[in-house]
Amino acid sequence: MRHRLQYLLREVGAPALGVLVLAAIFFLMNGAHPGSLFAQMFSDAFGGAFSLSQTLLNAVTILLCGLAVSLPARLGLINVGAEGEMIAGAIAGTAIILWMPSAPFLLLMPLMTLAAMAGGAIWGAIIGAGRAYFNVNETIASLMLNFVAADFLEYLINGPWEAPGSGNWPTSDPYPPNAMPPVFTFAKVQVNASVVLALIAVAGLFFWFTYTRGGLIARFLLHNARLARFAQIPAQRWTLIVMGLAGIFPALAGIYQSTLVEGRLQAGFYEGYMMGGFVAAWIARNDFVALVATSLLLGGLFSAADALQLDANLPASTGIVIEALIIVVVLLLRTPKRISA
Amino acid sequence: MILDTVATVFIVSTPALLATLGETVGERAGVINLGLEGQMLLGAVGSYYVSFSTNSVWLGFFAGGLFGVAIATIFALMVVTAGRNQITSGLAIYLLGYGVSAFYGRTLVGQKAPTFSDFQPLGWGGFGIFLSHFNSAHVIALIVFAIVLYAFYRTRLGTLVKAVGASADSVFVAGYSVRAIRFGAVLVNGFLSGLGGAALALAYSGSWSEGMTHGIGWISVALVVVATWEPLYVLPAVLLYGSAQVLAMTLQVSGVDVSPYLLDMIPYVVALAVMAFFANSKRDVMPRELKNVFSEVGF
Repeated sequence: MRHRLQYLLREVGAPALGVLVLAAIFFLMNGAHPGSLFAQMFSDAFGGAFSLSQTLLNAVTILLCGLAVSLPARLGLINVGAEGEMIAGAIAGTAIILWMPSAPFLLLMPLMTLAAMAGGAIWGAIIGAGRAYFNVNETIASLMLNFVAADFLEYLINGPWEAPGSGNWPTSDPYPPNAMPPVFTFAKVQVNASVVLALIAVAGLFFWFTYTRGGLIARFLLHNARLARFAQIPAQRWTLIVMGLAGIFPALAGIYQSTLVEGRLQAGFYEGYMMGGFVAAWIARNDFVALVATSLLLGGLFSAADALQLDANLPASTGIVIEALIIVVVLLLRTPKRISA
Repeated sequence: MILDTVATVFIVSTPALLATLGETVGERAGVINLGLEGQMLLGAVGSYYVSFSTNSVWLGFFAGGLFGVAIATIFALMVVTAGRNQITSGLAIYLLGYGVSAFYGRTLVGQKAPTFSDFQPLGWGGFGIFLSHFNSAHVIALIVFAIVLYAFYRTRLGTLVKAVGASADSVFVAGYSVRAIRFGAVLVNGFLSGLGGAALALAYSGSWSEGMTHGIGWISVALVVVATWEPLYVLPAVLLYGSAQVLAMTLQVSGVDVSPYLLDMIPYVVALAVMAFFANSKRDVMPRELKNVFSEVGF
C-alpha cells in the first residue's frame, strides 16, 4: 500500500505539481494572477453543464486520436497519422452524405459512420502495409500522409465539393439534418453518440489486450521479435491489422467533429487533436483506461484555453504553451519506461 | 523568363533549405527532431521582434538563429542529456515553439519591422535583373549552405557527426563524447532552422503572423528523406519542393485547371517513394542510430 502511494506521488503528483509551478511562472511573467486563473480555467473546463459538454466534445476527439497512438504503440509502432486518419474518415463519410443527402437518418447515419471507419482503416492500412511489407518507417510515413490527406481535403473543398458562393474560405455544402449524430442530454450535459462509440472502443481494446491472446501476442512482438517468430506469429499481418484498426478511431472523430461542430466539411477542422491525442496517450503510457482520464484532462484544457480569451484576455495559444509544458514536465519527471517482460 | 522562374524557385525554397540542412545534420548524428516547425516559428518571431525593436534587419536575422538555438537547447537537454524519447520530445518542442511564438507574437501582428530589400538591378542586362530578385538573406543562406557542406564533408568534426549517427559505440570507444557531438548537432539544427524562420519572416513575407510557417518545418523533415540524409542533396531536394510550389502558383495564375492543392502533395509523395525505394535497396541510406530511435521499446 505504502509502495503504491509512493508510486502515485512520484508518477502523478510530481509531474502535476511541476506543470502547475511552470504554468504559474508563465502566468506571472505575463501579469496574470495564477491562483485565480487556475480556478477560472478549472471552472471553464469542468464547472457547469455547458463547460462539461464542451470538454466532453473535445475529450472524445482526443480520446479517439489517442487510441490511434496507444494501440500501435502496444506493438512498438509509432503512429503520428491520426490527423490524416481524421481527414480520411471525414472525407469518406462526407462522400456518402453528399451522395444521398436526402436519405433517412436510419440509413444515412450507419452508412456514413461505416464509410468513415472504412476510410480511416484504409488510410491506416496504407501506413501499416508500408511498414510490414515495404519496410517504410511508419512514423515518418504517417506524418507525410497527414499532409497528403490535408491537401486532398483542400482540393475537394476548393474543387469538386465546393459549395457555391462559399467565398474566401471554401467549404462543402452544409450537411442535411439527417446527417447529424444523435446528442443525448444527461443533467443538462450534452453527450453525443461518438462518446458511446469511443467508450465501446476502449472497453473492446481493454478486453482484447487483457483477456484474449491479443495482449500476449502484442507483448511478444514488442519485446521479443525472435520469440514471436518461434511462436509462429505473423508479425507483418499483425502490423497491417493493428495499423488499419488504429485508423478507425480518428476517422470516427473526423466525421463526428465535422458534422457536430462544423456542420460542413471544411479545412482545418482537425487541428490540434492529433497532438492532443498523442500527448494523452503518452501521459497514459498507452493504457486504454488511463487514456480516458488523460483525454478528459486535455479536453478540459482545450475548453479552458478557448475561454481564457474572453476571461483573462490571454490568447488561445496559452493552451498550447501549457500543453507543451505538460509533455516536457512529464517526460523529465516521470521515470522512463523500462523493458518489462 | 526562365531565369526569373529559377530565382522564384530559389527564393521560395530558402527557408526550407536552411531548416532541411539543419535537420539533416541532426539526423546524421542520430537525433531526429520533429520540432523543426516550432523552432522555425520561434526563429521567425524572434527575428521579427529584434528587427522591429532594434531597427536592424541584420541583428534580427541572426537573432532568429539564436532563438532557434535557445529552443534547441531545451530539446538537447531532454534528448541528449536526459535521454528521453526523441519523437515525443520533438512534438513537445513543436508545441512549445508554436505556442510561445503565437503568444508573444500577438503584438507584432500588423507591425512593420525593417526587412531585407532586394538588390538594386545592375547593368548586366538579363543577368542583372535576375540578381535583383534576391536579397542578402538568400546570399547568406547559400554561404551557410557551403560552410555546412565543407564542415560536414571535409573536417574532423563532420566525420565525427557522421560516425555518431552510424555507430555511437564506435565513437565512444574511440574516445570521443557521443553526448557532446549530438548536443552540438542539435544546436546546429536549432541555429539553422531558426535562421530559416528568420529568412521567412524578414526576406519572404516581411511580416509576422501566427503559425506563419504553414508546415515548412514538417516538409523539411520529409525533405531530409528525399535528400537521402546527404547534406549535399539537400539543395536539389529543396528545389524540387520549391519548383512544385512555384508550379502551383504559376498554374493558378494562368488559369490552368490543375488544383494547386494536388501539386502541394508532390514533396510528400516523393518522400514516401524515396523511403520505399531505399528501404528495399541494398544501399540503406537511413543513419543506423536513427533506426534505434524508432525501435526504442520505452515508447
